[in-house]
Amino acid sequence: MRSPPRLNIVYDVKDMTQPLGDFEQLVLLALFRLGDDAYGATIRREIEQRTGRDLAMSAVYVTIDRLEAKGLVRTRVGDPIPERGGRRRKLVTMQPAGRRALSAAYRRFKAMIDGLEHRLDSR
Amino acid sequence: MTADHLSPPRWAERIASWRLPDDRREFVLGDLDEEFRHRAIQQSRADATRWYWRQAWRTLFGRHPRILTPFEQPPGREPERAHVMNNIAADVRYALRGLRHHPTFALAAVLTLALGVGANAAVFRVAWQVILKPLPYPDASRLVRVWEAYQRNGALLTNTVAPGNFVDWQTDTHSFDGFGAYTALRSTLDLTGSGDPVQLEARYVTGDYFPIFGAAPLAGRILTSADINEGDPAPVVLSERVWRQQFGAERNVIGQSIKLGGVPHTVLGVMPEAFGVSAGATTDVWIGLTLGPKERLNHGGHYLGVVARLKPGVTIDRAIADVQTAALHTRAAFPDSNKETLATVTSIEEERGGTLRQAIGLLSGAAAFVLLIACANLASLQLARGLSRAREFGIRTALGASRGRLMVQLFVESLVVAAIGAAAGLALSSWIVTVLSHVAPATLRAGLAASVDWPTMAAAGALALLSVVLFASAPAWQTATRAGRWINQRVASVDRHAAFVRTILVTGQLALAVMLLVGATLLVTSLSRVLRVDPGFDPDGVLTFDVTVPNRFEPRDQLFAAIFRETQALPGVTAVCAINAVPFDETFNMTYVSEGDTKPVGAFPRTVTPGCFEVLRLRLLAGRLFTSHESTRVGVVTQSFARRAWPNLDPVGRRVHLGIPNGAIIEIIGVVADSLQRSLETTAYPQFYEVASAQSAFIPTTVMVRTSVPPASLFSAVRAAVRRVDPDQPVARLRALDDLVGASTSERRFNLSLLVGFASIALVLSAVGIYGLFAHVVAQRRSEIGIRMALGAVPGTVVRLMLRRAWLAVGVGLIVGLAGTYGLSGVLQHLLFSLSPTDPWIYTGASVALGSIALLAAWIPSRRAASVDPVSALRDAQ
Repeated sequence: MRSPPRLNIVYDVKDMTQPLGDFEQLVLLALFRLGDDAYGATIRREIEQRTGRDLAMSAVYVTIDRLEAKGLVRTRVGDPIPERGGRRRKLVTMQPAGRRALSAAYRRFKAMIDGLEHRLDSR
Repeated sequence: MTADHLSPPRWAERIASWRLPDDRREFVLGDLDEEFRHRAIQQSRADATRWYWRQAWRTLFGRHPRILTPFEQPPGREPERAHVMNNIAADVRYALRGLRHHPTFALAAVLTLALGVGANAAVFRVAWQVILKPLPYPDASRLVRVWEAYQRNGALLTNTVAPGNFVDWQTDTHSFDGFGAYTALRSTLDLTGSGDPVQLEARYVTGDYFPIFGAAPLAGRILTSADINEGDPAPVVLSERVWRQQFGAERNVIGQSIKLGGVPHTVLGVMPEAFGVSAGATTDVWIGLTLGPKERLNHGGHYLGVVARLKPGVTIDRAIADVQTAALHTRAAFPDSNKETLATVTSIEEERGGTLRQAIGLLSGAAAFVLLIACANLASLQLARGLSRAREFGIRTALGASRGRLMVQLFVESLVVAAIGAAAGLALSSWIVTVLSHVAPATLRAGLAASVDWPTMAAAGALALLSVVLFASAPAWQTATRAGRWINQRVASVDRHAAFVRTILVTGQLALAVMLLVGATLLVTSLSRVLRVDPGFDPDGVLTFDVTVPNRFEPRDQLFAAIFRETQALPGVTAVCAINAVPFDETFNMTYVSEGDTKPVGAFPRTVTPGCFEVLRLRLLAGRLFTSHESTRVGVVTQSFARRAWPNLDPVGRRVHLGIPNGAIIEIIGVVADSLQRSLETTAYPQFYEVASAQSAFIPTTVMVRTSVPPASLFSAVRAAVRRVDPDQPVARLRALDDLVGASTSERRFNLSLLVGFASIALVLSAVGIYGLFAHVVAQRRSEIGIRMALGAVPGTVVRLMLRRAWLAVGVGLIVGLAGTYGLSGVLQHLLFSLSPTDPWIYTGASVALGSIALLAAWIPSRRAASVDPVSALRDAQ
């Protein structure tokens, strides 16, 4: 007999972040992959290469702004670089709160999808 | 790769930059730049450019909210750039959605606008081709033509120039940088030695001709005075068409020798297509012209066209005075030939299009009327739609939308409709132009064949913008102003005001429509009168073609005899002859001086074989016609020649000198009835017929064949017959004579087609406008009708009541329109033939026709008033 599915939801105050929107998840995941000092162009490219979604650059920035307002990422301004026509970069670093939000989102998703994977397999 | 090569498209960058908030701009642009380079290297620069433009586009129409940190203040009341643009982008999306939800309105609006813009774009296209397009020569405004001129019945008539006059005036004038001439009469030369012999249109030009225009050759170089030496065969310049068709556009033909008319000529260069058309009639090859000593004293044969370039600072009027003085000097030196010869100068740029210029002005006006009518319909549509959106606007005003904001939205909506309508109009104009090119005069046809070009697109865009201003401003202002009141006021009063405005619009439409209808009817009537004119000869059942003839008489005579023999044997052929110039083709002027007199008489010279009178069916009025054996030089003149040379006297037996008082003597043996040679609309010009002989002044080159069967059915048989006589003969310009006569009315038919088209569009649009108005009025006055019927009114009375408005609109519209037509009758005069522009029958007929259609369009929806159920009408009025 199979044991009933365990509920892995842990109620932690620190985890009670607002649910992440679709864009926000993509950007956070991209950041997670890219590590520190990712910026708009690399984040956008990562998302495009992995999901095929061609996002508008300005949309990425709106999302980064929102994440920063929620305290999930931190941004700082980098040095000017000639390849960018002498313009500076806005470097984005994930904060611990961001990691927690991402984990929480992942746990929620996994809890809901448990047992349904084979039906939702990418076709 | 250099840094430049990898910089993104400047304009896309500008667009993106404009939309981005200040605090984000640098970073976003930097990222876009970096990604652009990455893509350019990974894929291609083209791909990267496309991606960048997509990004810029999305930045333009996207949203750019800014998350405010706790320490920032919200932005002030003044709209930032991004804020305004956000709204406009939203308005565009909203407008498109609105059109999707109201397809009937969208369709009606787009169609109406398409008709208005299409008509105007088509006329613009024609105007561009004929008058507006800049000539392809440097400083083209200084190019002029010099003419001989004569005072005749108070008007100054122009004529081509005799070589003697050309030579004298070339040295005697001081206003010109360059004074050149070209042969204005048709000459053809056979090109042999490369495939089948081909007959080319040749033009002989003096050394100054090409330098005056300053056009660059397509290949090789132009002909100049240095190239022309008396005695040697002159070098030639080919046209682009001949270079491509006969020589496959090979560059090595330049410098080579080609055989024209059996004589070798060196090819100097090739002129582009554009030059050949604008410098005069079609030319295939230009040859250097030498005027020998005899020609330099020829003041009687007017066969040269003269072109010149004004010196800097010299006006046309000064140039005219200059050539007039020169003409007077020549008259003093040669009083016999130049007794009445004056001179004048015209600007090549301004005489383009000739008679078509005036017509284009008229047609532009007509097209503008169509646009106004269309805009009136659109304004009505907008008003009606505005009424149905009363609640929506009322609510928005209550929520704080300013009048300006609402107006901007309405304008944006109108712009969207205008953009779609302009695109549809452009497509329609393309179709109109294609149809027109079938009835267009030959000179216009090539220009109209090209597809839509930039100037037309710009014109369509400008027109759409103009119509937005015309049809959107009033309704927009009204809607925005009254929006606030609509919630409070009863819709009925606003409705009444709208109905009043629409009635005004309909009245205006009717006025414009009747003007167009009268104009169109006048043109149609004129054309039918022109077509009824008797040309004096019978063009039906005659075909003509050109052959290349030997210079000497005997071989030429034998050639014709053989051709006549072969063609006469064909079934259906009743008569054959040869002539130097057929009626309604290019023709030139010759002077004749009556013996014992000094007054010269101008006439069209015709050298004919005796059968031509029978072929053309010219009526003999006195004396006799030619026989095949004439012992002396004899001639036959037309009535008008006799009247001019020997008024009230018998011309038979009299003698004339050819060209000048001491010229060769020709005896008149007969008089034939006048016949028209240039146009059905002018009076007959004198003609002088001489029998073809060894001494005749001109050479017949065209064969005319009268047939009892349709001429076109014999075309291939005729070609075969000539080939049997001489396989090397190029049978050129094979055509039916009545087609040639018909072509002379092509300009008239062209103007007519456009005006009739416009009048039809105006009629349809006006009818639609009236229908819409009355449908609206009936719906609006439903409760009133219900009351009347409840009180005992008969349905017929109710309908008549509705129609009172129609009678008023139609009456006022017709009166205003007819008054306008009367006022513009002076403009129309030039385009009419034997018809008064204020012809009362036509005014009456057009009024009755338009009035009937208008009343019918009003009556159909008004009938519904009779079927209103009083009970439900009253109930709905609560």
